[in-house]
Amino acid sequence: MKSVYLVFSVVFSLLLFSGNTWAQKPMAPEKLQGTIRVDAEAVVDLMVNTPNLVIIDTRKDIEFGKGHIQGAISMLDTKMTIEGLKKHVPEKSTPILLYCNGERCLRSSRAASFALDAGYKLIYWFRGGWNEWIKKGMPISNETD
Amino acid sequence: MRLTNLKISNISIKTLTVTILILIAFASVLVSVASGKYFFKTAQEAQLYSLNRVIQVSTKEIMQELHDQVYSIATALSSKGVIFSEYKKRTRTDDNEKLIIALNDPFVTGFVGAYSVELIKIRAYDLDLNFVAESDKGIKGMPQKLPSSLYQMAQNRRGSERTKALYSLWQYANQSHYSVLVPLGGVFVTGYLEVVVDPVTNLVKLAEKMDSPVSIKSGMDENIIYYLPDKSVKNLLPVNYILETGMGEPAYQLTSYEDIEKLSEGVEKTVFNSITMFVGLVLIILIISAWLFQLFLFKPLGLMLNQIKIISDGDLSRELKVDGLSEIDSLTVEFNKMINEVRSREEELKKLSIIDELTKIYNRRKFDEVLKSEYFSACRTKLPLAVLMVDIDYFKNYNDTYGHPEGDKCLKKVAAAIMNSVSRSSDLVARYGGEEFVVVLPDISESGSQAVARKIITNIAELQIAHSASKVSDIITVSIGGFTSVPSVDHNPDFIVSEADKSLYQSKSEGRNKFTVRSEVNS
Repeated sequence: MKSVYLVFSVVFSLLLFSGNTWAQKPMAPEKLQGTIRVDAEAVVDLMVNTPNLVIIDTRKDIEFGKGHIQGAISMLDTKMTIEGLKKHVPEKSTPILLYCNGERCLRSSRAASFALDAGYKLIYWFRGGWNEWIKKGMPISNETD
Repeated sequence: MRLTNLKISNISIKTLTVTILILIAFASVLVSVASGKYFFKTAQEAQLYSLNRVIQVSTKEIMQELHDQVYSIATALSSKGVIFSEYKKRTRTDDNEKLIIALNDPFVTGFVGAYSVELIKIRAYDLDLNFVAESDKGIKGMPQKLPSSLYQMAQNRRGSERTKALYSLWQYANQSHYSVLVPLGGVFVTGYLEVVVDPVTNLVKLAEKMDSPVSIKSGMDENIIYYLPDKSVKNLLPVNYILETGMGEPAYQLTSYEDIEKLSEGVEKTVFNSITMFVGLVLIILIISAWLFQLFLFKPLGLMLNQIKIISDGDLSRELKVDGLSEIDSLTVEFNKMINEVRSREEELKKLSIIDELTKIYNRRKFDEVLKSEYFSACRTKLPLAVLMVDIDYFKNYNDTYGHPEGDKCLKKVAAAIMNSVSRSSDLVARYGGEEFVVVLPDISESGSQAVARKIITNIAELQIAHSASKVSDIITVSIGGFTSVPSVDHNPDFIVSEADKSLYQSKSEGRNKFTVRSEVNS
């Protein structure tokens, strides 16, 4: 009988442990010091009202190719360099908007930190990312140029 | 059986018990069958409810997939390519011809995802939701305006809200369509594009999802059939779901046909097993009950009844012998007590019937009985038999002089004295009547009889009971007449009595207070 309890408790602990592992799947931080957090509606307003806004999609190329926010440029966070940024955004005062897949994705927060360190002053962070964009039925662009 | 014969006393405990047991068995079968049916019905209702949920969820899934596909197509068409550029040009030139060609393009050259949706119209609207143009291709005759459900949602939207895609199931003339409205020009809205599809093509997938035959009919008119199963749905249970438009009107009646027999199979098996087990258990309990009743009630009762019948028929010597439960045992004990009581009372009664109440010696009845028996016994053995008749002298005068109570006392004393005068167990002393006593002396000689007679006279004289009214003495005396003979079958017991009586008469006539014993030889 004791062995049954032992097996049961081991299985239960494993389940509990694995449950915690799922729960601990990385979440993007709620706030990112030095950036302005925005939602999908605010992104549209920014796009309409801020002509020099540079939108950077930090997802993989293949994801970008399937659809992205209108006018965005693709730049994977891991391949982000000061030179690369400078090429697209020469002025440090130019507003930049960064997004990736969503709250379970850390790419945009990493890229935002990178841009902050690079000296860019106005950084908008769209934490909800592509998932929120799609969920809210916002326009999708397939333009590659 | 006629109703008049139906008395409680006609029904045995066994019949009643067996009837009750049969009724219990019958009731248990009825209850289990009824509860089985109820269980079956409940299980079916639960299954039906689950199936309703399944068809609802499956339909919603299909509509979500359809939405994703149409949304994807609509955004693709609106954000780039000829439609948007022709729409932009048109705002400058007020010429719809090229726009219509652009709107026809997806019908002609195809588009990504064309295989998964049934495109029926593409239409363009301006910023104020006014109709601009529509494709020539696709179905004809659609009213040239934004469907009201979409219009209600789209009007009065401001800012970023205007860029969001809208979608709705809508209908006109009993025909239902699914539309997605997306902004033309993306975030920089300049107008709207509506992509209209026929959802039936996608709803047909319900059959695959439900893994059962499916029919699709108009929600408004059952006679408008969009899709029917390719095989017979006879004997199948229809499970319905109404898919509504954005305005809450019934758009489609979706029916999935479920094999109820297949669904019921498990339930039926469970119900059958439960009923069989329950009824079996009840029957086993009833059979055991019947056996216990037979062993501990019917059998002892039957034995008891048989024995009581024998006893009540007159055999009081028997006792009830029945082993059984405490009540049966008590009944047996109490019955035996009663039988003992009856037996002792009967003996007493018997005794009372042969004893003289006053003198406590045998009475005339016992005398007759014994005389008869001794007489015929003597006939066989050829042994002599003597009878002595004893009469108190002038007893009437004694009663007159001393009163009846004293007379009674006198009779008692005389009786006791006569009793003391015989010594053998076979000798019998009885009161013959009034002041007359009789003595039967079997197997005795004439001289023996005379000796007894003499002893009687002596014993009575010794009593010294004063009798002033006697004419022969001043005390109580008796006259005795006896007769001794070897009885013969030629005579009867009365003969010997009458001969003794003659001797008594002789004693009396010879002056009383004496005995005369004659024998057959000298008579």
